[in-house]
Order: sequence, then C-alpha cells, then structure tokens
Amino acid sequence: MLSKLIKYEFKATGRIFLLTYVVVVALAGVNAAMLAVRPPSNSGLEVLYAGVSTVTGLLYGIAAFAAFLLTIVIVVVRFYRMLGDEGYLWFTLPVTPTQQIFGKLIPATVWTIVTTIVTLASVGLVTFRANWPSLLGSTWRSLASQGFNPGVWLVCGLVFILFSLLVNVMLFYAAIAWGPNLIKSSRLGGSVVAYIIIYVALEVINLVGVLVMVLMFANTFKATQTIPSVLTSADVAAINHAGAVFGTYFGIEYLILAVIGFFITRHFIGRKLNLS
Amino acid sequence: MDAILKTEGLTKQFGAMTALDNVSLTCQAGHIVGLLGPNGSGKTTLLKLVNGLLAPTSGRVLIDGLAPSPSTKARVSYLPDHTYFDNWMKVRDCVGLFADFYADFDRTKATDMLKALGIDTSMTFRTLSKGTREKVQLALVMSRQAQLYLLDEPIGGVDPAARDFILDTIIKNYNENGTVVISTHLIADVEKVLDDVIFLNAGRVMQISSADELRERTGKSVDEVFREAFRC
Repeated sequence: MLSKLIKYEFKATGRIFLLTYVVVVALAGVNAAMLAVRPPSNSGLEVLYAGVSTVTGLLYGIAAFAAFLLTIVIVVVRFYRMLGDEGYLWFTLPVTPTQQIFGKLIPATVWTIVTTIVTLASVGLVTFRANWPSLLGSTWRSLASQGFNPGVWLVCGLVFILFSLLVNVMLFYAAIAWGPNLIKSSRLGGSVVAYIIIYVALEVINLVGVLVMVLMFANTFKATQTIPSVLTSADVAAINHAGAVFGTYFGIEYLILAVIGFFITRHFIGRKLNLS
Repeated sequence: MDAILKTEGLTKQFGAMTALDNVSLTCQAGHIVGLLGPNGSGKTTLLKLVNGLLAPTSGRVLIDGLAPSPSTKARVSYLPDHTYFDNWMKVRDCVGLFADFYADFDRTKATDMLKALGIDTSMTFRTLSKGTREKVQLALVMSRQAQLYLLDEPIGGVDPAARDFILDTIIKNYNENGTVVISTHLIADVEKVLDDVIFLNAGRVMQISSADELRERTGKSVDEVFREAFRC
C-alpha cells in the first residue's frame, strides 16, 4: 500500500516539479549562452548586452530561488490538504497512519534532493567555463595533502543534510497534524502556532548543542583560524575529531527529533484525527 | 443476523457544542437503513466517527466487531458529503485509484456505471460540474462489494429528476449481503427502499425502528412521521 501512496503522490506533484526544473534549466542555458556570446569591446553592443544579461541573470536567480521555495510550499501544502477535503479520500483508504506519513515524506524528500541537484547542475551549466571538475579536484587533493579525508567529510556532510531535511519536513508535518487540536476554531492558525512552538524548541535545543560544542572544542576552533598556513598534524587530527563529534551529535539529535516529529504526527492523525 | 455496525454511548463534542450525545445503535447485516434527521442533527458526524475521520469524545464504534482501522476501512464504502478528488485527476485516474487500494472494487462495474451515467472518463475533475463529481464518487463507492455502505446525503446535491436514478443506482449495485446506511433529510425520496429507520435530532437518537413496523404502528408514512416529529 505504501508504494501505491507514493505513486499517487509523485503523480500529483510531478507535473509541477518537472515544469519548474525545465524553467530553471532553460534559464541557466540562456545565461550560459549569454556568457558564451559576449560581444567584443568597442563593438557598440556592450550596453545592450549588459542590459539583457542582467535581466536573464536576474530571472535565473529568481527561478532557482523559486524552485526551493516552491519545494517547501508543495511539501507543506500537500500534507495540509490531506487534513482537509482530500482527507475524506486518503483517511478512508485501508492504510495505516504510518503509511500515510511515509507516503508523503518519501516523495517530499526525493523532490527536495532532486531540486538541489537540478539547481546545482544549473549553476554548473551557467558557470561551465569555471571548469568545476578541475577546481573541485584540486581542492580535494589540497585537503587530502593536509591530512584531511575529504571523502569522509563529504559523506558525513550529505548524511547531515539529509537528516536536517528529514527533521524539518517531519516538524512541518507534526505542526500541521497538531494544529487543529491546538486551536480548534482555526486549522491554519493552529498549525502556524504549533510550528512556532516547535521551531522555538528546536532552536533552543540547537543552541544548547552549539554552546556545548564551542566549549568542548574552543582550542580546535582557534586552530582553524590558522588554515592553511601553519596547520600542524595535531591541529588536523583535532579538527577531524571535532568534526566527528559535532557531526555525530547533531546527526543523532536530528534523527531523534525526526522520530519525535513522526510520533507526534502519527498520534494526531491516528488517534486524534478531527477532519473538519 | 449479526450486527455489522454498533455504537455504544457514542458522544462527540466540538468545544462547548455536543454534536452527538450518547448514541447507541445497531445496524443489522443485509439491511438498508435510513439515517434520518434535520440539518445539524449529527448524521454527518456519526458517519465520520464510523469512518475514523473524527475521534469520539467518549463511547465507541464497532464495525463487524472491530474499532475503525485499516481493516474496517477495507470493508466500508463511504460516500461523504464532500468531493475529495484532486482537480488534476481524470475520471479514469479516480477509477484506477479505487482499483489500486480496494480489493473489493469492480473496475468493470464502475466503467459500466460511469458510461450509463454519461460520464466521459477522460475528463479531469476540474472540468466536471458539482453534480457530475458527486455521480463519479457515487459510481466508485457503489462499485465496491463492501460489507457496509455509508452514504452521506447521496441525493442532497442533485435535482429531483436525478434522485430516482441515483437511488436506482444504489439499489441495483450494492452488495446484497451488505448493509447500506443512507443519511438524508429528503425522506419521501428514499422511503420506498428503507428496511429500517433511525431518527436523529440534536445529536440524540429519537427512534430506531423497522420502516414497516413504524408505518403499521402510526398508520402514516415515514415521511409523515418525520415531518410531525421535526415540525418547526
């Protein structure tokens, strides 16, 4: 049943996302083309070129930003609508609340990742003259020569971003599910208040975590200020250690918060559902 | 016969307002039951509680002995008083969705019924009139071989000429071993098909009876009894 829920969620959202990606990539292509056909100086076309390239650059920037904004809006609206009129369909299907949540969460995660990849690829397209593979390769080798393990840092970073994404989506879901029980007369108002409460709690937890980390690794942070001139192997080891502790702490924290968000959501849509 | 639907002391409050007050009733398998009451009497609330769309304040609902769950939802075919399909969906997408999720859904029956209703399955929901949307949902709901059909105001939104057609659709297509609960305040239109009646007013059960027994006892039609009971 979960695979069917995911299938329908992708069908419902696919058209909007694909259209957005086409717009972003097309505008990136236009900007790349503009950079490739820069007119020679004193050709008399500089002003026209500057005007057109400014407009196309601006449009591309807006489109790339809108793609991310749209992703967040769709993730939130799809879940919000499930607790409105569409709930008469989805909550009368023979599926569990857990399947309902994952039926939304998995496509939301996939679309966010795809939006990120498409946007990064479009940046690569616009700046194709920068020779990214060479630039990234030299940075990678430079870090490795100083004693860092860029592969580990990269994987940890991606896992950290994924957990961060999961926790944010789950907390949106938890707020939307909790909202109608918080303010019975206004589902939207209740959801907004619930999100503010959850967001403030999350920020307090994060702040405590950051303070603990800063106190624990004060000397290491001082060492990072000397990068890359006189970094000793002891400094590199200390930075690696700090990164590992930092990543593990926030990775576990985000995972726990995502699980808490999941259980809050499941509780409200499973046991306290009050479809208006 | 066994009870397919049972409620025990079912109460639902929305803030200070009591929508359902200590409702206890039983519906036998194989019957067509009229859930009758004026607007705001609690009919929709009761059906939503049976479907698990609302959490009861107190009391409980049992469907074939089970509390509302995915297992009972597989046995209940529910027509709400809302249209719920997304606007981008074509009618055939809606048929596909029911076929995907309900093991008891008969796709051929649905397609035939939609054809009989003159509905083009390539149309998107956005382009359909309110009445046609309701007919699509009714056709899908009645194409299941469910144990319990819960129909909330199935004739409420259509013109009088279409009411007989819709009632015919219901009567001809329901699983004969199943129970049909029809919620309505348009008694005269449904009276002829009812086995049992439940009168609901201000969230309370006023009367539960077989339709024949009520007519025999009062010497009046169910519609006349209803009009007398709820005269303003």
